[in-house]
Formats: sequence, structure tokens, C-alpha cells
Amino acid sequence: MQKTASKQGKSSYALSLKEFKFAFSSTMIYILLSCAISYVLGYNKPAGEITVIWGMPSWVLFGVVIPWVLMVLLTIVYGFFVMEGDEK
Amino acid sequence: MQTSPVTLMVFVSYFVVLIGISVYAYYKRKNAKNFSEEYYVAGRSFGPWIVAFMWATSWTSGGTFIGTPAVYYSMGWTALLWQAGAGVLGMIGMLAIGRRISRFAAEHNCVTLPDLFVERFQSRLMGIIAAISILVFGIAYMVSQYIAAARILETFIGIPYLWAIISFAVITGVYTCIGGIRGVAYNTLLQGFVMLGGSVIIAVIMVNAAGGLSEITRQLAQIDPNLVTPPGPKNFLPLPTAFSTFFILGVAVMAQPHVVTRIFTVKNMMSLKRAGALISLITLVWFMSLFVSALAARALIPQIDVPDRIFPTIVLKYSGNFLAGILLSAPFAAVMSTVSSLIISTSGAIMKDIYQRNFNPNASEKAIKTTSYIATVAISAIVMVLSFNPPKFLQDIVMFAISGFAASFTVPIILGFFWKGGTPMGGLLSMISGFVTLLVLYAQPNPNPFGFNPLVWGLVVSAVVMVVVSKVTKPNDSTFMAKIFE
Repeated sequence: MQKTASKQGKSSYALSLKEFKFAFSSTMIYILLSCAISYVLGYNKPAGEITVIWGMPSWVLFGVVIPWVLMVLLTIVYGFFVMEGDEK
Repeated sequence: MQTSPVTLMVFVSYFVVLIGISVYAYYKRKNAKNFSEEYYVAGRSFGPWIVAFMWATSWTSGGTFIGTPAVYYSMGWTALLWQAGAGVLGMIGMLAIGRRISRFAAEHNCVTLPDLFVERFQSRLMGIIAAISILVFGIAYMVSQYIAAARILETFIGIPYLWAIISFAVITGVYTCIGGIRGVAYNTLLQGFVMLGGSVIIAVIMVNAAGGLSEITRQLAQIDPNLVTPPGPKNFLPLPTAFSTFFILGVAVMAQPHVVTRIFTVKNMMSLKRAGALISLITLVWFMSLFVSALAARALIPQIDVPDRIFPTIVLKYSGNFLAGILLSAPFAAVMSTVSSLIISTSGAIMKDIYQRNFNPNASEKAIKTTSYIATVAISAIVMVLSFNPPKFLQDIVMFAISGFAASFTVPIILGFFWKGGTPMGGLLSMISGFVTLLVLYAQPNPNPFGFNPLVWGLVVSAVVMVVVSKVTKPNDSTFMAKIFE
């Protein structure tokens, strides 16, 4: 693997630590948000009160599908446009 | 169930193509200068697509097309929350640790996960313990995969179980041995497309057949209202269990030996970043497609005797003969890509971590080559023999293996490579204590204190032990530490 050169002259270790912190915190936020939204909209409600949006129960749409898709978009944006190194 | 000759022919030609690809890979790798760098990590030369597919297909297994659709089918919409840990795979499994691990591995010539620990903590003992646990759990994991594949051959194609296992073991063993990791990679690219394309096609077919997503949800609510509300049928997923599952089916990926080593094969940062993004996209499409297919299946076929057979059943029933042949290959592709990655990881554990490091540090290129081939063939043979007479509770062993790898290796990876304070004793005890916590909790009548899975507790104990022990024990040499944390 080639040496990585940072735009701000950061060492490879400093860069990787920065990336780890970002990835780890976004992972934890994703997990907590998904659990919290599913709890409020799904766990907390009797079966009769579940509303359906776009063919799926609303708690699934807001608690699972939207956070998951946003997480994938975040990964793509971060991976393709934010992370540094080896640009040619 | 009757399978048409067209389906069978497509299915068999698929395996012929796989062997052909391995032979091609053999000619490409034949003249490599350094055998083990090539056999285990393909000279660290792979671009984003190969890495992403290898990574994703190593993580998903035969279970993805057998046991997982059965969970979706039985538990309804709540099963999507159960699966949602997959949302973090690209982020935590690749982007979080990729730069650090791939650079370190390249600079210290690491080809296996135990290599990483030995080089970081300068502890041979840690390497041996890690290698042994990889060997034991890796073999259990592979046995479960062989059995899953043989059961499909037995049920749907009518090949006797014993012959199914033998033919499967021979094909996978041969193509892994001939092609090395490069052969595995080329095959995986084909298999990944088959698995991905297969899942999307079957999803479209199934949702159409069931009359659309709204109709499916309406049907499910009629069959059992618990299929649309959490925690699901039979109190499937209480909130603490849901939280724990994000770790087992998501975060745990960063400590699976056969998945982490995929990072070693990356060519450069550009490939690594793109692979991370691709992984998250591939797994999203994949799991969502399989999920809606299984939900549609529940609406169309409300009862099935063995839920594990739901995927092959819908494939044979709802797709045409030709397509069925391709789609039936998908679970095999998943099994073979996981098994061949595991064969490479476990034979690496024997060759590099046990033989070369402890018995013959100056082994010649020829000796390394011979040992690697013998290890590869021996492991394939052991797995084959164990699969003849499968132990009971095998699925439990597999879940235990995944959690065991995660409980032992996650904290040494995170705190070993991103915290300067980790000492050799801290690393060793954190690895052992995470695993012991898991073992002790699984032996209890209630393995989930406060509803949280043993893995969550294992990670907590392992992290605490790492920090506390590191504070009071001797650190690595300061020049060495300055060098690896510069």
C-alpha cells in the first residue's frame, strides 16, 4: 500500500484516528436513533394503532428504512468525497 | 420436489465455470515472487469492486439464503429491525479501521489476524491463542456451511447427503487450493453478482406475485397482527435484544478473522474508501431484497413445515426453470465464498501463526508453499469428515463462533490500534476475558442479564480489562510505540 499524504500534513495515524472517531460515533448514533424511533412508534403502540405508509408500517419506515438508507448515503459521501489519501 | 433438467444443467455449468476461473487465477499467480504474500493476500493488489464483493460475501454466509429468510418469513416486519445492524457494515467494518489496519499490515507484512496482534503487542502467546481459536471456531463455522449446502442438494436435487458433502468439499477445496486468495476473489466477484442479481430478481417476482407491498402488509396483519408490530411473534425482539443484535449482525464484523483479512488485500486508499461505500450499498440492496421476498412468501404461502426451506421453495415455485438454476446457485455461492475465505484464514493460522512463527522462522519459500497446500487440503478434509455426521445444536455453535470472535478480538483491535496506552498484558487479558465472559454467560440459565446479549457484556468486560490492566502493566518499548503511533 502506498504512503498516504494528508492535505493538512497530518500523519497517517492522526488521519486514521479521525476517521475512526467519525465512523464509530456515527455508528453509535445510528443504533441509538433506530432503537429509539422504533420504540416510540412501534413498541409503544397496540397493533390496531399501527399506520401504514408506502406499504410498510410507519415504525419500520421511520425507525429502520430511513435511518438505514441515510447511513448508507453517509458512508458513500464520506468514503467517496470526505476521506483523504492517495488522490491522483 | 421435482427439479427440471434445465434447472439442473444451469446449476452444474455454474460449478464448471468456477473451476475454470480458478485455473485462470493459478496461471496469474504462478510466477509470483513471494508465495505467502500472493496466496493469502494476493500481493495486496485488489481494487474496490473485488474487495467490496469479497468482503460482503465473506460476511454473509449460507445462512443468508437459508436461516435468515426463515427468520424474515416467521417474524414479519420486526425482522427488518433485527437485520438493521447491516447498515453499519461499510462504515465500521471498512472505513473506521481500514486505513490503520491496511497500512499496519502492509508495513509489518501481516497476512493473518493473529499476525496483527503479534506485531502490535509483540506477544507471541497472543498470536498462538488467537490462531487456535480461529482454527476451532472456523472449522465449526465451515461444517455448518457444508451441511446447509448439502441439505439443499439433498432436498431439491435428490443427491444423497454423503455424496452432496463430498462433491461440495472437493469442488471448494480444489478451487481454493488452485487459485489461492486470487482464485477465491475472481470467483467471488462472479458469485457476488449472482447473489446480488438473484436477490433483486426474486424480490421483483415475489412482490409482484403477492400484489404489492401494501397488500403483503395487509395479508400479514390478517395472518397474525404480531407480524407487523414489534417485538414480533413469540416476543421475538424485545428492545434490549434489538439493541444487542445491532452489535452481533453489524459491529461484530470488524473482528471476524476471515473478513478483516480482506482489508489486507486492498491496493490503496482509493480502493479502500470506495470498497467501504460499495459494501454499504451492496448489503442494503441485498438484505432489503431478500427481506421483501420472504415477506411476500409469507403472504403467498402462510404455512411451511420447515421455514429454512422457504428460499429454495419460492425459487422453484415462482421463477422459470432457467432462472431457478441461477438463483439456486446463490446460496451455494454464499457458502463457497465464506468457506473458501475461512479455509484461507484457518490454513494461514496453521502455516504462519503456528508453524512458521514458532517452529521454523526461517522456513524456505518451498517449505511455506508445501505447508500452505497441506494445511488447505487438511482443513478441507477435516471439515468434510466432520460434516458426515453433524453434531446437534450446530447453528448455536455458529452464533457462538461469530460472537466469540467479536468478544475476543474487537477490543484488542480498537484499543490496540487507536489507543497508545494498550500494553501486551492488557491486550492478552482483554482478548481472553471477553471470550470467558461470553462462555460463562452462555452457560447460565439466563444468558442475557437485563435483556442484553452476552456479546454486549463481553465487549464491556473486555474493554474495562484492557484499560485497567494496561494502566498497571509494563508497556511496549517506547521507541517501538512512537514508531507505530507516529
